[in-house]
Amino acid sequence: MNIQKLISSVRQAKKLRPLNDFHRAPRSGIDVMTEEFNDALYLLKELFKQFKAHGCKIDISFYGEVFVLLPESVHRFELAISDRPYIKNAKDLLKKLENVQFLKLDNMDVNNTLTVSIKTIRPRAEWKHFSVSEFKSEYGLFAESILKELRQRVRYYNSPDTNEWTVNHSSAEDKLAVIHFGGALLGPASMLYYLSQHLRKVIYVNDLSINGNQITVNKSYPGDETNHYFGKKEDAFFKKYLFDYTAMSHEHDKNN
Amino acid sequence: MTNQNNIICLGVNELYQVKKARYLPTTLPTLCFFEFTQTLQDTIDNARKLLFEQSLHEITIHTSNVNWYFNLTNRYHHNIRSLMHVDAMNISFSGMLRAYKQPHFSTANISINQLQFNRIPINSINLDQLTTPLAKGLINKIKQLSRQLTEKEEVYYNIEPIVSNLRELDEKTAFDIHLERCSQLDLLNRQENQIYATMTALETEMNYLSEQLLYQVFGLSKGDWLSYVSQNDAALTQLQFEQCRVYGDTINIIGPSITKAGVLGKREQYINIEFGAEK
Repeated sequence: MNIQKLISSVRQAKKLRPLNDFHRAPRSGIDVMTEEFNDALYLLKELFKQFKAHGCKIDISFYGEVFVLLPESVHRFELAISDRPYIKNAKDLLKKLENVQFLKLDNMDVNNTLTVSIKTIRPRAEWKHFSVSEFKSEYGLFAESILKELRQRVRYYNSPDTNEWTVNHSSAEDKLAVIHFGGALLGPASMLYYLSQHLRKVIYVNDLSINGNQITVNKSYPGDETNHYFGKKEDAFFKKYLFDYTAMSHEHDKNN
Repeated sequence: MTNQNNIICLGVNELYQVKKARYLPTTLPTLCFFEFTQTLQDTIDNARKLLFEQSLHEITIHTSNVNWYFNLTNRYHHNIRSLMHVDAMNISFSGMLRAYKQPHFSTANISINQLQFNRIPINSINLDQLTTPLAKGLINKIKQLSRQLTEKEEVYYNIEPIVSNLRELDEKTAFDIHLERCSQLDLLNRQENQIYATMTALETEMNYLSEQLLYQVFGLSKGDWLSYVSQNDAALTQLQFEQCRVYGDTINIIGPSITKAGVLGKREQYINIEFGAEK
């Protein structure tokens, strides 16, 4: 895929990003202010050019995640661009805030916080953050330091990444997030609102499927299933926000 | 003026009116950051001015100068509609994610005085200002209300012992004398309630007028730091204005004292301004 196509699929996925607010394991990707979005895309484009020059393969998922495959190995990494404060540990701040109403922080800068973060796709891999302002416009240098960091990490991996990895993997968590987001967005007029309330009390959801005109929730053991039927409004919503959704068949409409 | 930046960090609490509709934990920010700039200070000052002129309790303003940090994603979330709440003494921020239609989380209150860049100015009270026509008008109104209140009080305290005895008796002998509707005794009972209601209304009106007097004549509002030299014994009192009351011909300003070090102390202090002598 050429770079322009990659960038436009990132742009398309932007409207799906609000799902992350309702997601227990939010997906990485580009999360910046709307005013900053074009700047972030420009930065991404320049980085893609550098990665391509190094022979990397780039994939964009349905939800707008960016995956890069190193040329010489089988390992991939995720790339995210976001605004984050340079605080080492939010827990320290929270602990201090238990006793006082507020804290004055003198050595912080809220204005220039754009960060590129990378992580290899391994279960316990950690994010590494690069401040964009440090590199100014030297994209070659930027891409090189990202790749250098990755090569260092990859050197110690002796097994390949999880075998069943695909660009567009879909989990029960994704579907839960869609239901919660739909409940908040469509409000009490929609059945998703009540299903979302109900699912918060459920401790463990084994599997979830959203198909045709029903949602099947499989709780702790097989057979413990409940079905929830939805209408056209939810159908339109799922079409927009859910990957791999087979839309409601409209045959019964034709019969009428 | 502001080379050094003033970033403030706040804790965030969940906010909900309907307990049943509790919000998803992932939609609750962990921390709130904002920069206390001169522009923000001006916005707050303007809001407070409006607050006292219209005698409002709170003003809510849309703002975009707040950053909400989420621990789960380790970043700021954008596209959150944020509101700033300004009341006489405090500010706080609340917000809502795009999907929701009402604010669903809020920060703690911060005292405006604690936010200030510099030392808080201490206003002194100049009694000469009581002679302006505006002040005289307000004082006359207060005096009038005060007279009315005294009259009502006199009646009230005369009736009160009888009525309370009556009520006691009525309870003890529920079946015997029992206050019949429309009987003389019941009328007395109801009158007492009525007088009490009038007294409360008068008191509220007087407190409101006295607040207006302090604001319009001396330019003082709640949360301000005051200093006052008593005319009788030349003793200096410094305090933070929290409440004011009218007793007879004096306005009583109550609030925590300001220590010599320039911080708020624990002890309550009073300033008594007499306006009866003026005529």
